[in-house]
Amino acid sequence: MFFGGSRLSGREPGERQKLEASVKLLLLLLADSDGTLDEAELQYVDAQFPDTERTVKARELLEVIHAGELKRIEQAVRTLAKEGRELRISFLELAIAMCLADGAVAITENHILRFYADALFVGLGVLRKRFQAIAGQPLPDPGDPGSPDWWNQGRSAGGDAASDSGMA
Amino acid sequence: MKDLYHKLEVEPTATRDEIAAAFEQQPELKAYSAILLDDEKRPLYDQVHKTLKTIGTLRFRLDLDKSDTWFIQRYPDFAIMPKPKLGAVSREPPAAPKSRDKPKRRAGTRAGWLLPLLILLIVAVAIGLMLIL
Repeated sequence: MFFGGSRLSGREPGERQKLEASVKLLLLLLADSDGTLDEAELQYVDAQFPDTERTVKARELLEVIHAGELKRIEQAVRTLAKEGRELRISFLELAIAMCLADGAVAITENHILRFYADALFVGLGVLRKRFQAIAGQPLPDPGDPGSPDWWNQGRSAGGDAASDSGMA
Repeated sequence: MKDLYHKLEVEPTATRDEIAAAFEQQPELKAYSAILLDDEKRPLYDQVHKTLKTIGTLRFRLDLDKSDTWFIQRYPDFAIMPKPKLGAVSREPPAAPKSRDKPKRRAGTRAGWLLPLLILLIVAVAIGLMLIL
């Protein structure tokens, strides 16, 4: 599964590049959030648009995240939020799949997924359904590593809160 | 999740010693020292703290910071409250002018323009009466 391809055909090159860069940036924010971004994930992000040559590379966009350029991230969210519902949900599914690639959704990834669902006007309900469909299990509660109780319940620094369920 | 750094009044980049000193200043937060003074727990807390800070700021910028959202309910420490409808972009209240910058109102300033107006009125009435008589 990749994001680009036929669903973006017929668009103006400038518009297409802007959308591609936005999708890549938002995926990278997600992938980088748990501090374990590696070369394979960078390639995975670039591979979402295999039929374009001039699009900005994931490694360059990573600099935007490390520099804390929130304005660029905000613009990326706004760009994607203007797209049709089908495309926005496709992005969310891609984001979910990326989170699950290493086996479990990290706490930071969980928070960002929920933010994307809200910011892209998809909603938490749809996120939960799509997550259940892709992961085969409910979207876990992010957990609270700022609470001594959470740590006392045997959570590890790996941040896997998969056994939690429910959501306020 | 609580913003422990904010409560301790230290930066997220604070050293272990600085954090330990901050906990001594605020004994009511001592239970949380088991997180921030633990070399294995703190990195995870820091990751989530950074992410929630980013999300809180983005939500504010994207006008997703309404008070009835799950984010504000669950993570009030990381939510930037809605900006005033008629206000400026900044959520900070306008700084009070320093005393030396305050325009000094001179005593009798208001009377300064009222008095000539009153005199003018009296003169006008007097002239009117003279003309009538």
